[in-house]
Amino acid sequence: MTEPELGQRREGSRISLCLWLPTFELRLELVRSPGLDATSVALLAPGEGAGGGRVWQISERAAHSGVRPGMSVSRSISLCPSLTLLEPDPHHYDVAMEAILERLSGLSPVVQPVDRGLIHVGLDGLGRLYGSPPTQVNRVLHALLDTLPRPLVAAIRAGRAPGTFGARVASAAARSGSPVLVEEAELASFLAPRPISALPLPEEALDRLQRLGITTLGALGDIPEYDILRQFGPRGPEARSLARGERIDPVRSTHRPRPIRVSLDFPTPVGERDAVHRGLNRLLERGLGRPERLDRAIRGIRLGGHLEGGGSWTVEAKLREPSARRETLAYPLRSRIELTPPPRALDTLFVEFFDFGAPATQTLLFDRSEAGARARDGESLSAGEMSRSLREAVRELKLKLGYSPLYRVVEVDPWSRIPERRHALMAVEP
Amino acid sequence: MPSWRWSPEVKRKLRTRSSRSPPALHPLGRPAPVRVSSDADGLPLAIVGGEGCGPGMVLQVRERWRIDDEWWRTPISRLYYQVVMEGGRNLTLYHDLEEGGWYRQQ
Repeated sequence: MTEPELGQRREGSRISLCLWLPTFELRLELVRSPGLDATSVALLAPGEGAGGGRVWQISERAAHSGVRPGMSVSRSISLCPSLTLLEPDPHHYDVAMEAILERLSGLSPVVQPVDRGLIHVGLDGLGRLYGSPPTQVNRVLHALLDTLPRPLVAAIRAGRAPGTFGARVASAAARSGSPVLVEEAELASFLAPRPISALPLPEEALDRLQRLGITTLGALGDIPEYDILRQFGPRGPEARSLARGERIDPVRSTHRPRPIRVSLDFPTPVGERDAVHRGLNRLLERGLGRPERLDRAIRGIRLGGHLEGGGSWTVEAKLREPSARRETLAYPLRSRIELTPPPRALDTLFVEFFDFGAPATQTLLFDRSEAGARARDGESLSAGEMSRSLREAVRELKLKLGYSPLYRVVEVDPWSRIPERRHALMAVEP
Repeated sequence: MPSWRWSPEVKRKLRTRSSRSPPALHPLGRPAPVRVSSDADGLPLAIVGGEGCGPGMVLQVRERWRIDDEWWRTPISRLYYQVVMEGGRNLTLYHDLEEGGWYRQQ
C-alpha cells in the first residue's frame, strides 16, 4: 500500500447510478395489499392519524379525482368518497430499504442511501466485473429482483452519470424500464435543457430564478459567476457549477453498522404513556447489555412498535455525544414520544441501536497517572519520543493501514519567507 | 549486458537500507488554488470557488505585501492580500505573479 498524500485522499466513486423509486412507501403498501391496486388509495403522513391529518402519498386514481399530497383528509374524502386511507408502517419501509441496501452492497462497495427509495450506487471500476455501462445497470436492476417484487423493480427509474447530481437528474429523466445513461463528455449538454428545479437550492431561490426567466440549467450556467454570487450568495456559484456539469460530487459509501435490536411483546395492547416509558427503560437495559455492542457507545437510537390492528410507529433520535447510559439515551426518546405519540395501542415495542460512537471506555494512550502527564507526553512526542502505549497503538495502525497515520510537526526552514516551507508534518514511526 | 549480478547478501543489505529510508515530509500550510474575481486594479472582489473554500464576497482588504524570492533558480513572485470575507472570516490570499493563478495561503 502506498502512503497517501495528506488531504489528497480520493474517496467514493465518480460514476454514479441513481436508483429512484417514486412513492416508495405507497408502492410497498400496494404490494402488500394487491386488492387495493385498482382503487383510489392515499397513505397518511407519518405521525398523523386519520382524524385531522394530511395525506402523504396518493395513487394515480386518487390523483385523477383531484386529491393531492399534503391535502387534508377531510378535503381528500370530499373529492374522492371511495378513497382508501392507509396508516403508514415506517418499520416495514425501513426493513425493505435495508434489504435493498444489503443486496446492492453485494454488487458495489460504494452505496449511498439518500432517502427511502433513492439510492446512489458507485460504479467505478466495475466494468471488468459486469461489462459495459448498460450491462452494469441491467445487472444492478436484475439483482434487486432477489429482494423486491417484479412490479417494484420495473418501476425503478435508473440514471447513470458522472457525479450524484448528474445521476439524479438522469434518473428523473428516465422512464420505468428505460434507464438514462450519460457519458462524461455529454454531461453538460444533457444537463443544459433540464429544469432548474433539479438543483439543491431553497424554494425561494428557485422561485427567484423562475421570475428572472432562468428556467433551465443551461440558462443558469450561462450567467457570469460573479453576478450569480452577488445575487444568490455562496450557494449561487455552487449551483452554477452543478448546472454546467463542472462539479462532480462522488458517491460516498455510508458506513452502516449492523443494528442491535431488542423487542418486547405486550400480553395485551398497551396505550398508556407510563407503560411505554417503562418498556423503553427495560429495552434500553437489555440492549446495552447485549455482547455485540462491544462496549460501543450509542449515537443513533430508534424506538418503535407494532400497532394494534396493523401498521407501525417509530421515533428516532441522534445524540450529539454518543452515550452508553440508559438515562441519557431515554431522555430524547421520551421527548419524541411526547411530540409524536403512538396513534393507537401497541402490541410490541422495540428499540434499535443503529449508529455507534467510540467505545465507552477508551484505552488511555497517554499516561495520566499524574497531573500534567498528558502535556509532558505531547512535548516528548514533538521531540521524537513516545510512550509505550502510544507506540503500540501506532504499530497496530501501521500494520492495518500500511503506513503510520500519526504525524508530528517539525521545523524545516522556520525563517523562510515562503510560508509553506517553514514547517512540515513527519510520520511518527513506532 | 552486464555479466555480474548482486549477491544475495548485497540484495538483502539493499532491501534493509531502503526500508530504513527517512519518512516522507508533508509541508504544512501549502497554498490551495482558488478562483478569484478581481477588479481592474487586481484587488480581489470575491472568491467564486476553490479547493476547501466556499464562495464569498470580500468585504475589505486589510493588508497587502509582496514576496520576490529565489530569482536564481525558479523565481517566486507573490502579491499577498489579507482580506476580510462576509461573515467576518479572515483569509490570506496571494496572486502568483509568475503563473497568474490565485491561491489561499493556509
